[in-house]
Amino acid sequence: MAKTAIEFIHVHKTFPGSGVEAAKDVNLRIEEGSIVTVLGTSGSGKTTLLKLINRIYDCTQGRVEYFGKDVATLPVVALRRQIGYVIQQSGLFPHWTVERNIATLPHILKWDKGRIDKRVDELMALVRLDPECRMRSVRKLSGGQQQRVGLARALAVNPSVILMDEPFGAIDAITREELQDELLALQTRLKITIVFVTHSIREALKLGHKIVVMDKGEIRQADTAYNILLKPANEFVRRFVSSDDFYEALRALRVSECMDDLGRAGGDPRSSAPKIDRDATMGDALQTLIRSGQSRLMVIDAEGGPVGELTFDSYRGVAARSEKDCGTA
Amino acid sequence: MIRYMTKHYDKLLGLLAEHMWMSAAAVGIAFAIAFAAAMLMYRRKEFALPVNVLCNTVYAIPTLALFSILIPITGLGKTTAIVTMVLYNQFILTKSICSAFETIDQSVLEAADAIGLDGWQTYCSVKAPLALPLMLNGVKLALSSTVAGATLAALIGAGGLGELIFNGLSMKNYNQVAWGVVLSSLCAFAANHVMQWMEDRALDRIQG
Ligand SMILES: Nc1ncnc2c1ncn2[C@@H]1O[C@H](COP(=O)(O)OP(=O)(O)O)[C@@H](O)[C@H]1O
Ligand SMILES: [Mg+2]
Repeated sequence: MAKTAIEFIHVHKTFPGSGVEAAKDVNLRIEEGSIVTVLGTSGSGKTTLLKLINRIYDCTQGRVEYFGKDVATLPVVALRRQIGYVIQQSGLFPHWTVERNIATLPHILKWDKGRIDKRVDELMALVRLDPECRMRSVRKLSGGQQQRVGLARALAVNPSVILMDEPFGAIDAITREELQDELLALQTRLKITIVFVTHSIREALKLGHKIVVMDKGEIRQADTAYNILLKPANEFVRRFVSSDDFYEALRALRVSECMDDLGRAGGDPRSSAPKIDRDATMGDALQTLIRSGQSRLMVIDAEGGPVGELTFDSYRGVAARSEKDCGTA
Repeated sequence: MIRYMTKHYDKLLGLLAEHMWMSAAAVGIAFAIAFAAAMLMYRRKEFALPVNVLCNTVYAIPTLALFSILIPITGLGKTTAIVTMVLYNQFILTKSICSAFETIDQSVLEAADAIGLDGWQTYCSVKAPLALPLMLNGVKLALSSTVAGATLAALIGAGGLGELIFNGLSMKNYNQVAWGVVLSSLCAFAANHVMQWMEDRALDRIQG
């Protein structure tokens, strides 16, 4: 089992004055190297959950642990420097260039100039920012580019965790998809732990290894996309994510979650069946399947070895379960 | 008028210099005090109202009335003149310094805090530069009104260009009056332009 990066243990948060319980008995384990998306309507306590991690807020009751240590016992500035933070409005420093923004922490930590320059080069390549805009003011960038700068700034000193609060919320749909894909690729490469807040169901399902559905400060379900969609823990989650759209579900489900494992016979790597990556979505797989004109796909892992197979029956399973759920509505 | 200048240029220059340094000193001291007051109001909201009321009240007192309140304490001369100008300037300066800090984009401050800048680092590298243009705008307004108002200092023997105007009037030497008016206007005009230039440059940096 992977190490625990962050753990909420019976966490409550009440804001003084308002009396609103923004977090109610939250228990949540976030594995190192995973993406956890926090999904919920506005005011459900998503931001509060994030801010309890880097101690913008302190728990009223319970505790948050960062790699096994209660965050309340850690020096707050040092803690925040190990935890990247990206927000919707980007929060970039408007009077600085792209370079200076990205190098905010390296400057504070008094890295020498050569090291900072090199790091900025790396980071700009990593988040795919055109080197041309290095000396430009961040105000002159598009929303998508600003989010890239924000992400680069968050990654500057190799944090082990990154918190992202609706980072793509104000970005047009196409750029948004692009940024999501790049974030996934980047996370796979760096194996960094990401806690990602969003109110978009689609975004949460697409990005999250685990999806946390919040409502009125409570976690209603914390589970994989597959389970959230097909085995909702309660009425709230079922209603919340029931996009009663079969295709929406296909976009969120991974092949590896729906395939049949290889039977005793095992797979023949030389089989003529078309291949599909285990991390592809069920939607992509369906396209491949239909185009191929065959009745089964061979599921392969990153090394190309067969790990399972996918047939139209696998889809019948998905459809049956979403229909059954709709039926009880 | 030209003849007047060639004959008395040393006197004119002397009074001009006196006028300028009196105004500059008043605005400088006023800024230091207003800055401290504004920081207090920015940090602790409960001070905002009383400080504002005080500044408004002082601002509403006519200049001559304020002179007569101060003369028994600070006497005739420059001290009283400068103290008066410092007091008036609190009105403009506390307001502009406060709003300079209050109008900083909250998401920028939130980000600075969350990525691990400490209070002092946030202050020096984020808050101060972002607040600068509005603060300079306040200084510009303060300086213009001070340069104009400083002519009244001559009434209590504090010197400055007002001396040309008031003495000139009483001796019916209109050339002298004209020089007083021209020089003090030029002085206000120049101060305004220098400050505008600084303000524009600071603004350019944060939103150019
Ligand atoms: N600083 C605060 N002071 C008082 N109440 C707050 C504060 N921040 C959030 N809240 C309240 O806590 C609840 C959850 O807010 P938040 O975590 O921001 O929700 P979300 O990010 O899901 O929109 C809301 O009812 C909100 O009004
Ligand atoms: Mg929020």
